Amino acid sequence: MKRYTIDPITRLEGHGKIEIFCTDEGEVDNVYFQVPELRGFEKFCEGRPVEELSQIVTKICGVCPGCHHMASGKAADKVYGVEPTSTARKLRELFYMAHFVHSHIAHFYALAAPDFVVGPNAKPEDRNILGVIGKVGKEVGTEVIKQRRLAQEIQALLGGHQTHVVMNIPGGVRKGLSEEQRFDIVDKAEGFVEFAQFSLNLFKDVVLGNNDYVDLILNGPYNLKIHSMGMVDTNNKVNFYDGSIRVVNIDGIELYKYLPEDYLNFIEERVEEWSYLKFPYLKKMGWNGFNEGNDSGVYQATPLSRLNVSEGMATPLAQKEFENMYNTFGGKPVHSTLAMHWARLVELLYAAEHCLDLARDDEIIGNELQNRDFKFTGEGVGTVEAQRGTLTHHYWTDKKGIVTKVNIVVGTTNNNAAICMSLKKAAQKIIHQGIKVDSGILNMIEMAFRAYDPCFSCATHHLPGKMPLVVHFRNMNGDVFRTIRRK
Amino acid sequence: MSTSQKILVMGMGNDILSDDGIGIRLLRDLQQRIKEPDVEFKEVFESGMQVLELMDGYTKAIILDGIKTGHHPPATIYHFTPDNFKDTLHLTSFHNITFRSSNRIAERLGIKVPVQVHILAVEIVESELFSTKLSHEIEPFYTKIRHDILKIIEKLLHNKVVKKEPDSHGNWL
Repeated sequence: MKRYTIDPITRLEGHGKIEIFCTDEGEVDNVYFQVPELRGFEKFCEGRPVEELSQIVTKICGVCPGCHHMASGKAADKVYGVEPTSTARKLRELFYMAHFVHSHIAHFYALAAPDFVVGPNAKPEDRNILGVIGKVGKEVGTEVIKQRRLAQEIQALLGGHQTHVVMNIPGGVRKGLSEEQRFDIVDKAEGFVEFAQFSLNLFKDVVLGNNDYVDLILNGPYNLKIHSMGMVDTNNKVNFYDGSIRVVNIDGIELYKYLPEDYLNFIEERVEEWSYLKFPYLKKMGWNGFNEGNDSGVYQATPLSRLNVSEGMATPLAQKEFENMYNTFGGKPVHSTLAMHWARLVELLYAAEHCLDLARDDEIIGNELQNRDFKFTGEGVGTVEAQRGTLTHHYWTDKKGIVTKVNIVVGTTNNNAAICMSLKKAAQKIIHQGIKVDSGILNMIEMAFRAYDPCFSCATHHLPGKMPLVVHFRNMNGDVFRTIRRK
Repeated sequence: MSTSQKILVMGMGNDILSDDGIGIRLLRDLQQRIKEPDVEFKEVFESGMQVLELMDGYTKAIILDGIKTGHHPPATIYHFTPDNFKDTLHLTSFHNITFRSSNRIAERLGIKVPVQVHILAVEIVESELFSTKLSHEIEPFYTKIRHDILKIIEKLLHNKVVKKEPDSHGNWL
């Protein structure tokens, strides 16, 4: 038996380790994707006023703080039994679109592009954002930095801080937007739209214009037929901020469409002894193992699954790109893991267009920033689409609004089973007897999870307080033959 | 004095993650003690390229952060410059775009960074436990850490030579 270890995984936020177990014949027997980080965040939230949580949750992780802020703010709305004013809702969405623009640009150019623009088998020292800049040129590199920064400026303006956001209060937002600030955002958003279109064209030129890459996407080891999950509006169009959760099976047929507050009726979490990260699955399908197909309970909540569950994008340019993507693949849904990169760029364009639409909406500079018609309920669920998947915050409070219990299901956690399966499938198709397992081969296996844009800084927060780190080493039978324990 | 002549002191970290927040705590305390007109203070929760962007326009930047090397006792203070830089807790992240990579990107793209960058890192113990308190290994040393860091910063502000390594007892001054 031979074991390959990829530790730490590169271009991943948080810590993760991949263990690949091979048979004596050199074929891959099993793959474990392990997340050994624990942080006890939910317990930390207990005993605090619920309206404070939206500020605290931004400190779970610096990668998608805006998503936690939004989900938390929406949950607090429900605890207070209040809907935000129309202006407040639009300001929240405007902030959130800027957050998506910033994050999707960073992922595509810093994380995804090295594999395609530089090449999956390029030397590791070249396979990074510097290598991308070397290939696409200084002007494009400068533009990447600039557009990402401008999106963050909008977040800082609306949120009070680009990372530790203090925007949401129950029923609204803390501050409004002036006419001058609004037109500044319009200018920036026009640039986002242009840059998103440029990025899509770059993807088409570099990736779709390369037959090897197209073959890799269509016929390579990166294909996983599982159910898709995502949030949709009343027209079944993609929506990041609000709507219903829709789940379609591998043929694109709707399985469920439910309100976020009903998530516990549809999602259940499973614990595997070899990972601290839980494995959510479709409750009504049941857990049928790490299997593909319509009988499986495994689903993905990713940019690709968001497009798979929807009937289109709510903005015109993104809608054209949506149609273009599915026409290229020959229909919907698409199950190629690497297509997530394309879907992410379609989402980038949608976020940019929606940002522009919101900034042009006269109501965005309105003065009604908070609805104080509170009808306290003591429980609230807030769900948004984070860049990395459906994010749910669920709070319970006492009569004074002090938090007694918190449950958070983050985007990456939704995809835990899918990531494990994608890795195993890629490894089984790439590693064979006689193949020299070098850094290029290992990188091609990493590409299977990198498409999910996983982030574990906030995913492993389930257990209370400090958790000792335990690492198990297993033989081919799955038996532990060595344990390392950190007290 | 124009912005281009100003000095930036940045405290990095997560103030609800035990020792991880030591850079932030130091910054808040030192801000009360350093009353130089050309010095600005920023609490920084970002990493990678965003850190460089925050330094844009300053001639000198002093970064306060935690570090876990395991090679020196807890509370040991390290003084790095870009030439001898080791990865601290918050200059390494953002999807693996490190401070070093960010510097190279900035150099490639012609982004202006401070002429002098000093990183003062404190050897910490606990960075995975959500808590607003420092660990029991670091808390007893905090007053001394703050005192030593303040002395180093005062020298850096006035361009005096500062030792780059602590003595065998972990003392800088």
